[in-house]
Amino acid sequence: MKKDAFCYTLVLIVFIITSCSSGSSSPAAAYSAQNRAYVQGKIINTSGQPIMNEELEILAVQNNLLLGTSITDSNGEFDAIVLETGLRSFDPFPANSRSGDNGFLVRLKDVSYRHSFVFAFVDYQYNQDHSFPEVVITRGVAVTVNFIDQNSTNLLENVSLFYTNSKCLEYYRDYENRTRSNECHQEFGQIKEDGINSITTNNDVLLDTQIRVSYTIDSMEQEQLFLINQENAVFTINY
Amino acid sequence: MRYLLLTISLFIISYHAIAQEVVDSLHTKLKESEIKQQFHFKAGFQTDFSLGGSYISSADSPALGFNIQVDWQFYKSFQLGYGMFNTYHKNLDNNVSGLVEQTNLKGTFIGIGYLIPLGEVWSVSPNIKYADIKLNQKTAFQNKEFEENAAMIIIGASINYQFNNHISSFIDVEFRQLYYDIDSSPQLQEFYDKDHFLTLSIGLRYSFFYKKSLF
Repeated sequence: MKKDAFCYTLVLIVFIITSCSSGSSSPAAAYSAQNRAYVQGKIINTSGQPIMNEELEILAVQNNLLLGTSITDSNGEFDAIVLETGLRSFDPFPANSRSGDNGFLVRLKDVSYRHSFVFAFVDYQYNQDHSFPEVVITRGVAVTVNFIDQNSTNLLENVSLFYTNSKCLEYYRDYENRTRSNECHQEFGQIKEDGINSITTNNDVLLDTQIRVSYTIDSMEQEQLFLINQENAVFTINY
Repeated sequence: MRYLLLTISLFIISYHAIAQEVVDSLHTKLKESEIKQQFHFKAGFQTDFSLGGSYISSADSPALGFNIQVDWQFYKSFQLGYGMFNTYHKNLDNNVSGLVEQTNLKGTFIGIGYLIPLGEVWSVSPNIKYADIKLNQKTAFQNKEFEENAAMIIIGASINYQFNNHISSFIDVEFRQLYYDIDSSPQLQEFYDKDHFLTLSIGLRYSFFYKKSLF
């Protein structure tokens, strides 16, 4: 009888262990997975040259979860395996989301390219290949404007710097480029300062665009335009 | 690998130490003809050797893990088995696995086997099993995890060596075919369809005997 009890206890232990180990789902689950997409494309710069050996990341549109990574080759081409975002199974849709906010975006990891990415809505069709045509990515640069008071008597006020950046450059739906200003748009960054002698942007001013600097000196409004055609552009305004 | 070597060492040491006792075999201590049912509780370590370049088998080294199992020899030499195993596959090839760096493969299985005695202390038991698999995937992104499903068919044989009436050691050799429940792009389908492993297990078994017949 003792033997019977011991034997049944062992069976029960095995049953409990197997039930616990295979039935639990991961508490840290943020992906739903069960799907893998394949993404490939080519990235070039504004001069038409391939962007070589740059790390890129593929992020969920909705929650910026990293879904895949890759590195461009010498031709600027990349391919990546993309996990399915966890939106469907784990994360509730935020109230302000749109029905199409379930795609992914492809962007270069380098901070100077971060503002510029390929924006793709895929509507859960993760079991398809995703092939992007040649995508132009523009580098963002930092711009510095120095103000030099030449006779130390003028009053500099209301300095504003307006510049062009972009939240993305390419927008795809159904694998066609459908860039529209309200969905993949350009923005105008603005920095406002008072009583300063230098103003610097982040690395997010688009190359080959203009910046506009407005300021008042002794209550007189003034404005200057500068063309951004190099990295780390520095301009000086004497007053 | 250390666990495997340790287990092999224990197996060899046990073999020599208990060799004398084996003379008093099951046959002489119990009247075999009176045994109608048997229960076997097995526990051991296992390693999976990849037989392909698919998703999990892209890992750069054999997987290590453990298994436990209960076998019920319910009628003559037929055995029903129920148990679980857990193996750990790390350093997956990211060209195949994407962000997933390691996978913990947890299986719960049922199976049926047939025990064939090979003399007084040796026996072999060919078997077939079906396993429900949970793949616990850990990614390179902040160690985030997710779970996926798969199924597995296992065909193999267990070779047993009886130390005494209750304790024996076993080596299981199994061919395992894993069927992923993962949808993938056509470009990736060859990696996420199925996987194959050759699995070796080694461990100890504890047995109970019953004189009551089930039928």
